[in-house]
Amino acid sequence: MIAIIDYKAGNTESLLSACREIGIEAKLTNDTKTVTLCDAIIIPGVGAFKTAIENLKTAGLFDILKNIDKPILGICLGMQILFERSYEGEETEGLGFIKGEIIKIPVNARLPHIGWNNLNAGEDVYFVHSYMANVALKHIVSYADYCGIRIPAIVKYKNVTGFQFHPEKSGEYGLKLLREWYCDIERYKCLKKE
Amino acid sequence: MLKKRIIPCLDIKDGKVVKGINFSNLTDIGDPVILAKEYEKHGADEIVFLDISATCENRAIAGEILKRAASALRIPLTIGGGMCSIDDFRSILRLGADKVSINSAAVKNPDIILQAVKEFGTQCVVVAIDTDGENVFINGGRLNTGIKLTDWVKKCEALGAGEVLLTSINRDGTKIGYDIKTLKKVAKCINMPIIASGGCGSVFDIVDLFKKTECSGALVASILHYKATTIYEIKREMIKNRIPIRKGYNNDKF
Repeated sequence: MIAIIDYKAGNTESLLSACREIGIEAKLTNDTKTVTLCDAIIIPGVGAFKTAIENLKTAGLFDILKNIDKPILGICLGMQILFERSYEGEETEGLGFIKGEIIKIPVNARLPHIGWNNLNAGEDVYFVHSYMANVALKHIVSYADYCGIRIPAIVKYKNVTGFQFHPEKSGEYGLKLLREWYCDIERYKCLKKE
Repeated sequence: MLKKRIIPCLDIKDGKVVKGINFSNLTDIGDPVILAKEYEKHGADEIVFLDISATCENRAIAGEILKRAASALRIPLTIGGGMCSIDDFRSILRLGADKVSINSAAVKNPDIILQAVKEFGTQCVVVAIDTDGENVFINGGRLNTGIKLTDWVKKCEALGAGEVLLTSINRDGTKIGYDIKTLKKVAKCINMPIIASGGCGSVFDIVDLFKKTECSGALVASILHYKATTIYEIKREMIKNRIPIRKGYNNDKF
C-alpha cells in the first residue's frame, strides 16, 4: 500500500483517482503508524514551502519522513521539500534527502510557470510553480526549458524521486510516469532484500 | 518550451451545462463531467466550470459533480462563479478543483486574494476580471466600479494572484475576435500569465490572439459549444502558424 501524505495541501482527490486508474493501491493519510508501515510514500503538495513544512511538523510527520528508508515520490511542492532548504519567503529547512536548494525561477519571463511544457526527453506535462530546485546535474533525470532556463522536472537520488510537474494532471503521459515510478518500487524492494 | 493553452469553459446552472453543446455520441448532454472529459479527449489543455447560478448564499455546483470531475479529468480544472469567501476556496479545492477563479468578491474585498494565496498558494488563485477595456466591472459585468483596469491587475499581482482571466464584456458573444488592444495593454503592466476571454468567433481569432499578444491561453466557449469548430481544428491551425501546442495526447491525429 502507498501512503499519500495528507497535510492539507491541495487537490489530493485527483492524485488518488490517478492512482486508482493505474491500479496503485493508495491511501490518503496523516497517521504516523500507517506512514511507517506502508510500502512507499507520495508527498503531494501545492502552496507555500514554509506552510507545508509547518503542517508536516504539526502532524508529527516531519521527523518520521526525515528518517524513513522507503521509496518516496514528491510531487510539485512535495518535490521541493525533499531538498535541504528553500528561499521561498524566508529561508526554511526541508527534509534534506537531496542536496540542493529551492530558488525563485531566475527567468526573464512570466511567472508562475503555468501550463504544458515538454521534458527534454519526453512529452508535455503540466507545471505550475514559481520556484525550482537548484541541484547538481547528476540528480536531474529530466528537465524542461522555460525561456532558456533549465527547470529540473524529474530528480532522483537513491530511494527518493521528485516530479516538479503534476503527473495526475498531465494526461496519459503523466499516468505513464507515475506507473514507471511504481514499478521502480518493486525493483527497490528486491534490491533491498539482496 | 511552454505551450499555449486552449481552455474550454462550460457554463453550468443548477448542475447542468446550459449552452447548446451537442455531441452526437453522448447520451446525457447536460452532464458537465461527461462533456469536460470529451473536450479533454479532443485535446483541451484545461477545463473551466463557470457556475452561473451560484451566489454567496447558494453554491450550486454540487460536491458530487466536482468529485466526479476530479476523478475523471487528467487535466487541470478551474471552478468559478459566486466565490465569496475563503471558505468557498477551501471547500471547492477540497472537493477536487485545481484552481478557483474569483471575480466580484475580490474587487469588493481584495484581502481574499491575499488570504487565499497564503493558505492555498499562488497557483490556485485565478482573478477573473470583466472589463470594457478601461474599467473593471462586477456583478456579472453589470456594474462599473470605476476602478481602472491597469490599476486593478497590478494590485492583483501584488497580492499574489497566479493568473488573470480577462473577459472583454463588450466582445462577449460578438464573435468579432479577442480584444487585442486591451490584452496587450494588460500584458505590459503585469508579469503573471493572462488568459483571454470574450469575442472568439473562429480559429483564426485564436491564432491572431497568440500571434499578437503574450497571452498564455485562450478561453473558448461558444465556438466549441455550437460546433463552429473543434479543438482539433484549433490546434491544427495553431501548428500551421507555428504556435506551440502540447504534444502527447492525440498527437498522432495531427
